[in-house]
Formats: sequence, structure tokens, C-alpha cells
Amino acid sequence: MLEIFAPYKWEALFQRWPDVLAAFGTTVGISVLALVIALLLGALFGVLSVSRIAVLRGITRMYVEVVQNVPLLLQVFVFYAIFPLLGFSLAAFWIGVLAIGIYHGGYISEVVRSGIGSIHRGQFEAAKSQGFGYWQSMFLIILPQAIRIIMPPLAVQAANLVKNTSVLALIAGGELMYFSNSFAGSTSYYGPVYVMAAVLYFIICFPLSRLALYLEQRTRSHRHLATGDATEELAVDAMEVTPGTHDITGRAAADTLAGGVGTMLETVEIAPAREAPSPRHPLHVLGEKPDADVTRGPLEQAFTGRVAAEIADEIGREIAQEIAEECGDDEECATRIMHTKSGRIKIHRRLERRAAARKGVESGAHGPVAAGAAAPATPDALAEGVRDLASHRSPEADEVLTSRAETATSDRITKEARRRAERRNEQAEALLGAEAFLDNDYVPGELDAPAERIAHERAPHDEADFDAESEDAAAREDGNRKGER
Amino acid sequence: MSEIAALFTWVNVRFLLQGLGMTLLISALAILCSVVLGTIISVMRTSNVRVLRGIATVYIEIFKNTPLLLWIMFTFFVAQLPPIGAAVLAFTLFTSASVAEIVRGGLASVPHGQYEAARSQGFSTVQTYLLIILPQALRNMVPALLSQFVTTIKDTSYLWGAMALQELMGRGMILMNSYNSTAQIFAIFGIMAAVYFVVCFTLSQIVRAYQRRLKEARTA
Repeated sequence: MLEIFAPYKWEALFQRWPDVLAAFGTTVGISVLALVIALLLGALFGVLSVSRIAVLRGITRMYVEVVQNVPLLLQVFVFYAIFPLLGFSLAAFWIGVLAIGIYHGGYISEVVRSGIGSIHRGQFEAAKSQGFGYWQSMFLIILPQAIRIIMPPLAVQAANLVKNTSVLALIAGGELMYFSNSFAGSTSYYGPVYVMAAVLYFIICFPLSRLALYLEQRTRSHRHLATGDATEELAVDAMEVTPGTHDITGRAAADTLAGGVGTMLETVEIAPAREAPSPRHPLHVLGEKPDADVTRGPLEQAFTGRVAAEIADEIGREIAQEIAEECGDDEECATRIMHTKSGRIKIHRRLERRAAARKGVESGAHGPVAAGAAAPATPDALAEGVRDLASHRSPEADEVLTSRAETATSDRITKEARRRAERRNEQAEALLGAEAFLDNDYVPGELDAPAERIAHERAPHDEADFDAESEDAAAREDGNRKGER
Repeated sequence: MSEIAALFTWVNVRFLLQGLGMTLLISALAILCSVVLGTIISVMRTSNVRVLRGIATVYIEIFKNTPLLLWIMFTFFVAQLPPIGAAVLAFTLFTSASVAEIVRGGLASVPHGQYEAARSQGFSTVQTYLLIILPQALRNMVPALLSQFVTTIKDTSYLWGAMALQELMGRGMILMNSYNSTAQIFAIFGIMAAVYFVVCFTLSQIVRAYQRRLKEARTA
């Protein structure tokens, strides 16, 4: 085994360093140019795929399906072996740029499509009502919002693109993989060169996938309290693959889909409950570690994992109980709290206050409370102070909290509302309430025609029906308005 | 036209179908092994032991950020394994990193109450995972795993160029070499692309249908 990586083999490799550098440069060059093409194609076809014109949608569908269901190597061979027969030949470098650009263009167009699809359709309607045309609202309203959702999977795509340039080794592309193969073949020193190639690829791809992760977390941290039941949905969404985008799995896929929830919440502006939008769920405060360097007051204590989840659970139960007591048997009251912006902001504040208090109380039992200038005086201020420690929260606690705490609170409240409604045999309305909550689509008066709306929600539909649906919704809203009059 | 008709002999068709068989065999083996390895890595990733967590993270990062072709070369030339073994190993190593993420998502999709319920009934940790959690998680993982299967099928096309393993792509290339009219080469190429497309597209459609069913089951 050691013989494979014998020192003299490394030496032979390092003597070729100008070639290594050239090959690495070629890989980077192909990647950058291909990425430019892929982005252009992806943006173009992504926008076309939600077009109102069926032919355009058909063309994008075909492009995406063909590109995604035929191996990349075969597509490269079209340029390499088939086009020359037609008297059209290209250098391997440009074959790489074109073929890989077109291939990833298909994937990126799917990313763009689901990004656009995740923007609440109210945005389209709002733009329309303000006199924006289709393209204006697409480029000025929808796409700028979609960018944030699109970015994380885009970074994943970029990393995949870099990895896929290695396929050019099989057509003598002159890039890193090709150099490795030819070096290994000509010297039969197989070990070092592949290790080096792995390291070099890693150097490009690792920052890209870290970037994806960072962007994803940033997007997620914008998500807010009202995600409520949505947490459960998110977990399940983690398993969904954006149709056709086979390369985007797990997290990235979850985020593309989950992005919808994030955006939806921002659309109704739940976040700016305070002046600066608070970046996380208030219960995350529980999971934050006290800062060792900066003294922010001895009150702080971090709960992690189970403990944090349990406390979050408890707080959720308390608030649910509170709301139940406030409202009594009046299920409209619970609905009001859950389905209006002001109601949710109130819940948010309550959560914040309780979480801050909990941290204070719990840590008070552990150590003496030394009141200093830095010690926050009120629970609210404490929450504010702790919030600044964003970089110190533990990811485990975060995950547990997002998955459990949110469900614990909002879910309970929703369930409570649902149960009360059920007691009166108004199951349909409860379901509707929950759905409207998830959709954030709830317009007063909608409950008047529950059966129709449930049928509408249950019917399978995809982004292709986007326009039809938004018109539908507009018509429905019009109808409601007329009904009110 | 007769040139192209001459291609469709039983010998040629069988030749290509055997290639397709090899493609599917390697992909299926790779996915099966990846599910096992991916599950182990995913469980390690969420374990309480820091070292295990570190190993799993490093594993996933390495294989997520390096090209598959490199690992095919590595298992074939450096580890000197026989072609099929090298292919399956390379695909397993590479795919299991993705599968680990899928499994993690699948485990997260099982409500936490299920763990607690299992514990309250006296199941041990291993029993809880094997009997309660994984079966439920698997149901949610099927679409993503099938997608991974499609990716793997497409990627097996590297194997001919890398180690002359006669899967579908390789068989097509061999066939192309034995015919020399342009029309015939076009036709063979078209057939190859069509076979890949039909297989992968069918699987993608299954993924979509299954997802729709899962979604309906959830909303119902």
C-alpha cells in the first residue's frame, strides 16, 4: 500500500507542477464559462417555464427532461463525435463549456422555476394591481424575492458543475482529471496524482458547498414563529425532490421547497415585530450558549438538546393554555389569534418574554445574580441582548428547537382551535383554517364556501397552473368582496 | 433507410440489452450498498460521540466535493480491483454520501413522538430505529432514493471510458465502431440516448407519482 504513495512518485508529480497548474486553470476556466452559460440558460428557461404560453412551457419541459434524463457523457459525445460528422467541430475546451453549460442550464432552470413558484402568488396580484405588466412584475417583484431561495441550490449546482467537468477527461479535455489520467498512464504512478486531483477539486467545491449551507441557514433564520405546523411540513419536505432535479437532494431540495414557507412569512411581515427584524424564533434563545469573553450578564444559560426542547414544549403548552383560557369556547377567537398578523405578533412577544424569563430563572438557581451594568434589566432587554449572540448558539439545540418548539406552540394552538371546531361538527372549517394558515392565503369570507375551496386545494396541481390559479384566486377574492357588499 | 433497418438484428438488440442489464445491475448494487452505508453514516452523524460524528462529517464532505470519476479511477487503478467490483465500490462510496443526507432527512421526517412512544414501550435504541423509525422513514425516502438511482444510472456511462466495462454506453460505442455510415452512427447514438431517456424518464415519473401520493396521504 505504501508503495503506491512512495516519495519518489510524489517527486515525479511535483516536477510537473506547471502542467498541474495549467490543468487546474483549464478546469477553473471551463467551470466559470460553463457556469455563465448555465446561468443564462437557467434564468431564461426558468422564467419561460412559468410562462402563460403553453408552447413555451412545453419547450422548456422538453429541454429539462432531455437534459436531465440523458447521461452527461452522452451529451458531451454529441459535440465530440456527432457534430464533427456534420462538419462542425469544436475544441475540447469549448465542447466542455457548451455541453456542461447546457446540461446544468437544465438543472438551474428547475431551481429557478421552483424559486419563482415559491413566491406567494399574492405578490403577482399585488404587482398587477399596482399596474405592473407581466415582465415588469417578474423582473422587478418576483425574481428579486426568488433570488434568496434560489441561491443555496444554485451554489450546490455550481459545485456539481465543477465536479462534472471531470467528464471531459474521457474526451481528452486537457483539464485536471485528464492530466491526472495521462500522468498516471504514462508513469504508472497512480497514487499521488489522484490524491492531488482530489485535493484540488475539494479546494474548489468545498467552499461552494459551504456557501450553499451558509445561504441556506441564512434563509432559514429568516423564517419565523408562524411556521407553526409548517415545521412538520418542512421535515417531510426534506424528502421531496424538486421534480427532475436529481442532483439536488436532501437539504438543498428541502430548502428549495421550504423556501416557500419562508417567503410566505416574510410577505406578511411578521418579522418586523420590533424595529430590527429578529432573525430567529424566540425560543432559540434557550439554546444559546453564554458568551465567555463578553460579559452580558450572569443570567444567561444555555439549554441544549432535550432540555431545551422540553422547556420549549412547556412554554408552548403554557401559551396554548393561556389562549384557550382567554378564548373559552369561542373558536373564532382562537382563529383570530392564529390567523391574523397582530395575533401572531402577540404570540411571538409572549414566547420571547417567557423564553427570556426561563433563562433567567433557570440560571438564577445555578449561580448568584450579580447585577452589573451589562446585566439586562428586563426580560425583553435580556432577550434582545441574547439575540446578539447569534454566532454562539449550538446547531443541535437549534435543530431540536425548530423541529419541536415551533410545533409545540403553534401546533398546539391550531389543534386546540381544530378540536373546538370539531366539537361543533365543523370539521371542514377547521381543516380549512389550518390550510389557510399554511397557505397564508386566508381571505375573510372564504369560509363561506369551504367545500369548494377544499376541493380546490386537494386537486393535484403544479406550477404550470400557476397563472390559472392566480386568476382563480383573484376571481374568488372579487367574489368575496362583492359578497361583503 | 435500409441501412438503419439493418441495425435492428437480434444480435445487436441483445448486445445492447445486455449492456443495459449491466448498467442496471451496477446501479442497483451500488444503491443497495449505499443505503446500508449511508444509513450507518447518517446514524453516526447524529450520534452523541464526537469522534463518530467527525468521521461521518469528513466522509460526507470528501465525497460530496470530489468528482465521481476520480473515485472510479481510484478504485480501479490504485486499489486494483476487478472492474465490476471497482465500479460498485466507487459508486457506493460516492453515492452513500448523498444517501446519508437523504437518510438524515428521512429520520427527521418521522415525528419525535414516535421515538418517545417506542421508548415508553420498552424498545431499546437499536430496536427503536430498526423496527419503528427506519420503516417509516424509508417510505418518505423512496422518492429521493429513486432520484439517486436515476443519477447513478446516468453516471454509469463513465465506466466504459474509465475502465472499459461494457455497460450500455460501452456496448453502444462498440457497436458504433463496427458500422461506418454516418446514418448508422447517428441511429445507434439515437438509440442509446433513447434507451437512457426511457429508463430515466420512467423512473422520474414514478418519483413524481409517488411524491404526489405521499402528499395526498399527508393532506387527507
